[in-house]
Amino acid sequence: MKPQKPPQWASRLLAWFCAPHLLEEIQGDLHERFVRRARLFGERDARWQYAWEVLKFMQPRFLKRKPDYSPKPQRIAMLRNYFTIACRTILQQKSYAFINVMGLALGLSACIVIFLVFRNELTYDAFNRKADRTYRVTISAGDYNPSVSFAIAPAFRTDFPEMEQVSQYYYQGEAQIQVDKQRYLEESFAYADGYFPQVFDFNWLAGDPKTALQEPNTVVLTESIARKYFGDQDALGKTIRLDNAYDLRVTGVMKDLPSNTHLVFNFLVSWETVRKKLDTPHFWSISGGYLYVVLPEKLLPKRVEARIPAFIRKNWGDDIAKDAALLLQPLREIHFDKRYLTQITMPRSKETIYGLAGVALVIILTACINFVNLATAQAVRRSKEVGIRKALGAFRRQLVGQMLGETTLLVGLATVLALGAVWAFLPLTKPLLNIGIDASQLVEPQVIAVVFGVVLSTILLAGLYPAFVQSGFQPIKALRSRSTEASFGGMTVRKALVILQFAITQVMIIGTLVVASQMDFFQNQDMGFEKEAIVSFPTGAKADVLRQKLQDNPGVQQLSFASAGPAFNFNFMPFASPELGMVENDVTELKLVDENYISMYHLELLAGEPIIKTAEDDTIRNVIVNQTLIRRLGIQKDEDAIGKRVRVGGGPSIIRGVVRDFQSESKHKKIRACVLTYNSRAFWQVSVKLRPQNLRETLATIEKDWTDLNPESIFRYEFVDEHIAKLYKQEETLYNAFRLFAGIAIVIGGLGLFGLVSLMAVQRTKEVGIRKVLGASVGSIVVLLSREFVWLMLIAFVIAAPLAWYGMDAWLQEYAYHIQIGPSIFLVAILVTFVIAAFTVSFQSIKAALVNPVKSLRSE
Amino acid sequence: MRRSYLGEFEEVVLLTVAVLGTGAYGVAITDELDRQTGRAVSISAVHAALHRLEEKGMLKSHLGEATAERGGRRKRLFSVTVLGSRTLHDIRAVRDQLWDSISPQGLPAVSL
Repeated sequence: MKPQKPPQWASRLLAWFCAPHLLEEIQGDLHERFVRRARLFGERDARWQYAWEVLKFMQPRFLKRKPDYSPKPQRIAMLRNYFTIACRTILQQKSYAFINVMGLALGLSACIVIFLVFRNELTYDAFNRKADRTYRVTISAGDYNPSVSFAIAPAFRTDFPEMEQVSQYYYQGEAQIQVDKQRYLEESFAYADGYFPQVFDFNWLAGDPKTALQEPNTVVLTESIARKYFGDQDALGKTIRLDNAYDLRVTGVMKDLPSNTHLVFNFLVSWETVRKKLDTPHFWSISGGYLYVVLPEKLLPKRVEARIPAFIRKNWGDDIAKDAALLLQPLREIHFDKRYLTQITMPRSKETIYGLAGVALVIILTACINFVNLATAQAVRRSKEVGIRKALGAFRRQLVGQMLGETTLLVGLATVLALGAVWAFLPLTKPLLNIGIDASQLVEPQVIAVVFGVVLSTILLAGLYPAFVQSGFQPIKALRSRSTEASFGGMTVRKALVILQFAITQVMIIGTLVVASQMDFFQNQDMGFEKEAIVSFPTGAKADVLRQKLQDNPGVQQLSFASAGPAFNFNFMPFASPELGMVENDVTELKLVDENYISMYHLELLAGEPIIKTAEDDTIRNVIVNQTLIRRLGIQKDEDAIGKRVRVGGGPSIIRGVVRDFQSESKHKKIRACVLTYNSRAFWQVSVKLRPQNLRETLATIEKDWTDLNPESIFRYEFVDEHIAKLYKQEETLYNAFRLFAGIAIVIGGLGLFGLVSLMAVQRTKEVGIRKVLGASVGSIVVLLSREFVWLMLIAFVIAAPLAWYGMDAWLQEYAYHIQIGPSIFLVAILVTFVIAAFTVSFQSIKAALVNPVKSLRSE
Repeated sequence: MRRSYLGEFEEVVLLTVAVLGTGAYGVAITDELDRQTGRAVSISAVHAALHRLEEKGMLKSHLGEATAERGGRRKRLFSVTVLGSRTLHDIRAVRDQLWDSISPQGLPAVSL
């Protein structure tokens, strides 16, 4: 009969939970009872009873381990020994410790900054309690426009009475403010109705949100503005004068807007102040008003959108209902929706944000790779220590603990440095990355938790592998001989890691180069018009006098009055040409210009004649159009367009000339159809081409002349090229981020490479010595030490190039006009990596090659 | 009077150890308890009681022989300490004293 066995799982369970000092007797007793039961009642029954009895032993009494009586001080002594050894190693290998700590600190600080940015971006507008039910009403009519006519809000209120809130907001931008005698030119000026504070939960410092914006001629200020005007006095009840037209009473002060909202304002004037003036019944009179609605709970936006066509038809008729639709854009999507490019704050794509998070991971990974590489390479040096510890009875677990402890020490040091660096860097996030992050965010529990998590995973990522490699040494081998590198393996892993690191660096370099060339393309590529040394400013009063004065100014080369410069577009009109068979309306830009416009901006006239001064009341307008417009009409040859009739904004016009397409918006968008025509009533803007000499004096004279004509106002001007640069602020931000983080990745990678090569050089000291004795030249030794890295770099490039191409090509697709990623970019990238690698590698290898063999071979 | 720190079950276990003499270990004690008192006790309860008694200093133990039926594991053999013995005697004295103090009519007669 084969021996009967109690159920194995129960035995295992018992062995697991039972205190070791009690285990044997209990096991024995249970076994004895089992054997007897098996004999008396059969095995099945005995097994059941056995398991049952095991379970009954699960009580604290048997679980509790016997207190360890081994004397405590020993442990402390051991810890102290670990600590001493750790400090000695760090001090002995100062440069490696430095490389490790610096790399990790850089990586961690980049990580923390990126996390803060990431958090800021993904929590846009989330601070509003009703954020999930709040929508912005936008127009889609072939094109997407975030702002709608002021006629919509009242109609919406009437036809959708179930809406919880309907609120009108209107961003004006610049305005002139007068407080007592002092005049200020202010930005970020907006109007909002009394419902607005109920839609958005701002942080009010004074005043009643419910009533503050209900009466006409009232204004709510942000804290910084209130302080600027009134210092420490109470701002409530004070009066400020807006644009020489309205006296506004301050009825509220709120904290400055948080960094994560799409709204931009420092002043909030009650909508009642301007409602009558801006009121319009027309659907298409769009002048920058935003309409926000809060849906009642459980009402889906789709249900509202489904009723929109009927709503438009009822209020504005069939024609408009056919052309346009209103959409409900979720509040929290506003920051990411790339369809709406004409916003005051440009949207940022989620891909960019996730891309940035990816960069953070990659950077920290690079830093960890450094650590792993250096630690494993250095492990050989410590093989004796490990051998002795093992011989004296150290468990592997203890050794792993010791090594992880050392890693923790270094990472801890790096964390302290990183937090300091982040602290110092945060004020720079606003100018550099256009995201204002307050240092107080660093102490928020969520941030602390994430930082802690990152640090912990860094410790594990960087420390685990070296700890296992090191603790796995065979003591006999480690103690017997001066072991060489190869006997420990790990070389392949290290090579793979170096390849990974090179690949990361190259992806970053390629990315930076692509963004850089796209930036260059934005700013320096031909826009189709002249933009150097042209300054534009509002016309103000008495345009004729101003024109005369400007013409007399010796610093002015040329000047032009118009509704807007080539790079501004405010006016859009429907156009069609029934004569040419184009019946459906399309949208065109309309620029009302004078006779100097085309010549001053160097617009290229391809056919026909330039604009001439005409009387305003001509029934048929003479217009000049761009190539896009005539292509839209189906005309291929520019000359053929001359004399053709088009309807622009309903009125008949004759095409008198054709100009080459010019870029009137940012390169995100395709060039639109454009119509230029003479109309002196709309000359709101003056553009002046300045002579390069005495720029400053000329501007001063212009300012003086202008202020004489408009004594109540402040002169404000803008250079055209600066205006164009502003269109790409978002990209510039991205470019800065790329440069910064790519730089960090490269520095970390370089540090690691440097450390690795110097370690290898040290390990091969003898070999180098012997080679030199046998007649090797310095050059050949440098090649010997560096050759391997060239290979690794090439392999890395093969991995990096397609990855980078794929990612950057996707990014470029966001722009209607973009560069092509050519081979030159890849060539530059590999050259840059090569130079960096060569520089770091050669420094150490040359040093090693120059060592006198007598010295390196003398001692054993 | 000195308090004795024994619960009823502990007392019975302690007595059983005394009964068994040199062969007192978990299984034997459980069996003996079963036979003498007629109650089914679980082995874990006996172990717990033994453990407690040892902590209180009324039992001492040493490891005995390993046997095949125990899967090669040793027994823990218990014996009563002087303190244990004195405690048992104390308890008995108290009981006797109480019995002696009962008047003949104090207890209803129990027919055997």
